[in-house]
Amino acid sequence: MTDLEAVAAAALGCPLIAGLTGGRFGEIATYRPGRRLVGVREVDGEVEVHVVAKWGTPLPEVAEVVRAAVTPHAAGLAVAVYVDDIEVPGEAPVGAP
Amino acid sequence: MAQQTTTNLGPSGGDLRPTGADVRTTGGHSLLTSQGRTSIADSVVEKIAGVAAREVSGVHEMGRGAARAFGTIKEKLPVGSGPNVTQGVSVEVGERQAAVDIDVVVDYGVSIPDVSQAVRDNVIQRIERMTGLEVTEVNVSVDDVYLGDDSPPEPPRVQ
Repeated sequence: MTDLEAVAAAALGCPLIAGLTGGRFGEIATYRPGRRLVGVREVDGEVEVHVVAKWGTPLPEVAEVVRAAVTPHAAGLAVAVYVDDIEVPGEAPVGAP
Repeated sequence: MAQQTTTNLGPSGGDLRPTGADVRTTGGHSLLTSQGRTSIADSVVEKIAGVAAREVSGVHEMGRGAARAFGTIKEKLPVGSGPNVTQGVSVEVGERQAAVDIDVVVDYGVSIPDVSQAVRDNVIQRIERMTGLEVTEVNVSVDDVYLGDDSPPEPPRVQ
């Protein structure tokens, strides 16, 4: 069983991302007793990480940094990085009401 | 006054939008690496295009008439989330390429061909740098000219 808690923590530790996102309806998550790991899930033998990028760095590079941070915790599975949103300077932060 | 100038980019000057399998209309674009996939959502490309277009001096506002009117009301609502950067932008993103349509309102007094070319250059540069996608075309529609609202008030008719 992949340690998705560690995956989420490793992804959140990346300075190039503003956070993880659960998609428009918040459905992208791993459901655990008592809590939910938003933006991380295991689908078809692949670990998916859905991130909100910070403005300024080329996104393929952001994805590589996230992948590099996450891969050691993915128990040998492939890591799919989804850049689902980007935080624009001057705009309300993504996910704010 | 709502005059429209559409300028096309491309060697043939025609509509270069690929209509075949290369452009998908939904989802995002993927970069396959040996360690896994990277996928960039369409809304991300849209935001980048919106910010890039707004950066150009001479661009006053973005969006078509209805979207602008609605956007102005929305911005004034206390619960509003500020200006919507994707207003006036629509993108089509494929596996490796993207096509962008942009509606702008320019300030009065600018050269519209120069501003639209500057918008095009900046949008292409930003998207290509930030996402790695190749931008095949950027269609800039100038929907209106902003004349300013500093016209002097009419003098009173009676003293």
